[in-house]
Amino acid sequence: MTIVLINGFFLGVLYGLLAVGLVVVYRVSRVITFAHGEIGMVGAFVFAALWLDDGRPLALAVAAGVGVSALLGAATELVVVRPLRTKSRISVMVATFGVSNLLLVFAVRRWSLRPRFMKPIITGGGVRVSGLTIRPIQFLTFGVSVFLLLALGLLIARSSFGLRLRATALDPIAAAEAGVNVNLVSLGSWALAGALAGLSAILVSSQVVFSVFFMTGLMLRALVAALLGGLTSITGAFGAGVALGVTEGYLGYQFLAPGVVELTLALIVLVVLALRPRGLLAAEY
Amino acid sequence: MKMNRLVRLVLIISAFALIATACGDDDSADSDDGASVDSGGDGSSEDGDDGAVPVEGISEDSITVSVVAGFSGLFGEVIQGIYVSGMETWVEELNASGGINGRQVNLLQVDHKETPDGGVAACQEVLSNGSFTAVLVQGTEAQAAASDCLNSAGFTNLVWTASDSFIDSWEHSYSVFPTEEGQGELLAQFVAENAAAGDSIGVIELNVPVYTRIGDAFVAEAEARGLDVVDVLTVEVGQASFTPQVLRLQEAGASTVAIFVTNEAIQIASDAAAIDYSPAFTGALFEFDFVTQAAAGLLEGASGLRLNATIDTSEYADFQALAQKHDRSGALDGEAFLYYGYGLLLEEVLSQAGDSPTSDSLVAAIESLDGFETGVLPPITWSGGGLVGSNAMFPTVCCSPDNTWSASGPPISGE
Amino acid sequence: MVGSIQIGRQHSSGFAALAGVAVVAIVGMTSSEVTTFKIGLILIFVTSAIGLHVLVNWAGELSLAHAGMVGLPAFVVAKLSSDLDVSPLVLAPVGLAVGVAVGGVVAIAALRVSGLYVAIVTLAAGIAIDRFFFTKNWLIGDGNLVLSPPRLGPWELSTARSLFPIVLGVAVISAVSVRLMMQSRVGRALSLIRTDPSVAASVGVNMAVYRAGAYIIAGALAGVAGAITPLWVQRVSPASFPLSLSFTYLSVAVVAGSGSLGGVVAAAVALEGFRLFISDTSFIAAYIGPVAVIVTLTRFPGGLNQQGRWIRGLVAGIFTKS
Repeated sequence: MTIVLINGFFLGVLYGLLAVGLVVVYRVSRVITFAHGEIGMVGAFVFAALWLDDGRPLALAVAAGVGVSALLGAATELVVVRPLRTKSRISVMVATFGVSNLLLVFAVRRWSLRPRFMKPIITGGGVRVSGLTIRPIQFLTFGVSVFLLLALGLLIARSSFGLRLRATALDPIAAAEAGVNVNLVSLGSWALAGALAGLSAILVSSQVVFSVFFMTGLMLRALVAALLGGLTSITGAFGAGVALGVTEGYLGYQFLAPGVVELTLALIVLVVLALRPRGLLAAEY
Repeated sequence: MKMNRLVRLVLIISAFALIATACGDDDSADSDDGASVDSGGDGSSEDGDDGAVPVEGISEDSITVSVVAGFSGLFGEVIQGIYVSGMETWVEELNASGGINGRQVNLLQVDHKETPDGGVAACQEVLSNGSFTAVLVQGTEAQAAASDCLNSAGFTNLVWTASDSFIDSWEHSYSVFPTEEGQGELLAQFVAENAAAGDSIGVIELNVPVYTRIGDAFVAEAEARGLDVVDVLTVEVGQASFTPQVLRLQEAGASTVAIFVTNEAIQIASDAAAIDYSPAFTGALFEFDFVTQAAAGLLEGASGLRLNATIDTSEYADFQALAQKHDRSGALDGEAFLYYGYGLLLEEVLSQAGDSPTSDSLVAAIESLDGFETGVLPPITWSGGGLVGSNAMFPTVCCSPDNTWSASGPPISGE
Repeated sequence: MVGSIQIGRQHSSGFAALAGVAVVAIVGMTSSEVTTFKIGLILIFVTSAIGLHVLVNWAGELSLAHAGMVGLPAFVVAKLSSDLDVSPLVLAPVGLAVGVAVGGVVAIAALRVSGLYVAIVTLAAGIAIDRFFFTKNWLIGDGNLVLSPPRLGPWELSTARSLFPIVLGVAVISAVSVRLMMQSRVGRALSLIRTDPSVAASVGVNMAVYRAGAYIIAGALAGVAGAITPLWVQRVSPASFPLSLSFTYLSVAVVAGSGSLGGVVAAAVALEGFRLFISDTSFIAAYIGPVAVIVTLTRFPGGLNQQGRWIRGLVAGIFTKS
């Protein structure tokens, strides 16, 4: 059982990392983006093409992958989110679903839908904990996640960009009147979320089956984590992601009947939201 | 006045609709949806011989056959690539060498869209597009719906496989391979024959009907053969980690793990390795070269049964040479090889249907096949009266140096 | 004057709808089996999409469980029909009841939260339906439920053409019912809740009841669509109701925009029609679906309904001039 819980923790780190990107978008645009996973997926495939196929240096490949995802995030803001700023949030959500589909179609045509081998960006024997080998890439992902949590927390709480971001999130019109370039803040946030998606996807890609759909299943869990965390709290989303991973591992080990894990997770979501309709840790601005 | 205008409007629109439907659409040649792609010839239905009864899909110089698969959607491009590399290579070579009894073979692509409703629509299209017969080469529920619908219409067709429940109710749909349940039973036989004393088996099934049909049949047959099945676990599509499941099987002492999954096999093997669990992997629906290539050694030593021959055979080398001759730059792999095999089987059936093919001679041709060998598919026999062409599969083991599956013997048949 | 223009507009849209139904009836009854079959599938899709239109564009609610809300009634009807050897036609009310029940359950889950939280709650419900119920042998058989062609007295309705009047009739009755409800007190209350909840509350509209009512209406229409699916396709499997279908339904509702049924019918016909009638792996065919959704939403944020208003105005002008 310990193995399952430890494994669930590291799985939950992946959910949490992806959930953080969703929160960054939600904080500024008040929208749940369904394109986050696919934006990251394209970045990861660009990274794989450069690093594994073309033999480019790792740092260059990572930068290119993250950069492509950041550009895709920014493009989504420009093309989809900005024209719909005053419209229903559901319209924006559906539009991001359109972006997600568009990127999937592109990826299938460019890289096929078959899985491919993905080498971890750091290799090694790993560390044995209670009979489970934790691979270096899993530790790296955890470390990067903690670093990002701290960095994003500081960025939002202490930097001038963070101040403008919070002002834009609270009231875009008032923020604009106070001299905040709302368009730039929104664009920057989506680019930041895109970069996060790309970095997350590169880290995740060697820990799951690497195909163009590798982010799709993870994003459903990340959505739940972001929601349970309160949609506005980076720490809450990450914590909920970790809790979700551990719970999923426990349920998967305990309940053998088909579909019971999914049903139970759905019931947990419903019960949590029935008790706390704004999530567990909704952050104030 | 308003009502008069309304009536006039309705009448005018109705008239246009009638003219449009009368001009553009009838049951004999439905091409309104663009779903049919004529790979050559006109696909029309004409008299085979002067004075003879016209036969749908047969003209003096051509035979028209529908190929049903999921040609559109996200998976469409991959299927299209396999089809072009496999079946079009076959048909180009065949037609270049004179066709069948002087007739060129025209293939019409019909899309089942991977859904049961798409399968029924594909069936209706086959019934109306002037085809002599149809071969359903890919898909699960969609192709089952299409083949079942064709069977209900009394239209003779070849389908790659189906479940027992369909085969039991069919008369006009011929399955090339063992039924889904038959594949599970054959695997159990294979495992039983190779099991050592004291072996115990754990099972992991993807929670999707076709996987559970094969997996459940495996479990029933394995238990009937006295094998010790210690646990049967279900996993979900998109599941990111399988550690809970492999840990359970490790704790249950399963020395063999039968997996009924596809891409998930890679993660299952990876998660097993992380807990130092190295059972003998076997199973079904993961014996694709693209799976073991992506697994990069994780599935080394896995064994199982494949529907078609592996790519380390001389037959595949011949196919490769042929594909290069026809400038196929797309996918050349085990799946394209399988589609090429369907072509060879179709060629034999159409040849056996005689100089003046009819629906009766088609059935007679199919039912005359007795151990027909292609080197690609297992020997096909419909002469015994059953609808299942083969109860054999190719034993295979992972992996060749390029991480593709290797042949480990001649096809084994069900007992 | 304003009143007469309003009446003229209502008449013109009624006439257009009547003309549209006449055209569909004629095309459906005179086309080949395959074309008629595909038109029937579109009508079933339209019926269920209207349910989500009510939920999204009238009540301002949201559901990502709509595929499950259609699929569950379809499986119940198909399984009962298969096990009891009863025509799915007879079991249609059962489908409706199951749809209402599922709508009610989703409503209970969704009512505690608001806004985009509803999306995730209903998505969770949709996943639970898909992964739990659509994998159970007692509901889906071995994964392929096959039904015999339905009978009406001594006649076996084995062709799409023979069944077409039933499917068309169900779609028309569903649309007319919703249209009538739209003009009733219920429709006005739902609309008020969406546009100004505080005003709705101040005039005594029971928000919870009406919000739940919107889910139940959506469930009822999904139930009707689900019930006629086994009748029309005669084969039901989980592949018929993938999770992604819920996103397609939501896209249809959002692309339609708030307003009458014209927009949702147009959006549903366009999206489902494209899927069914276009079989092409070309560059354009692959990208056109998602691009169409994005362009419609960003360039015409009011949806197709808003764009259709000038057409309706034009038609109304023609009739009122006379």
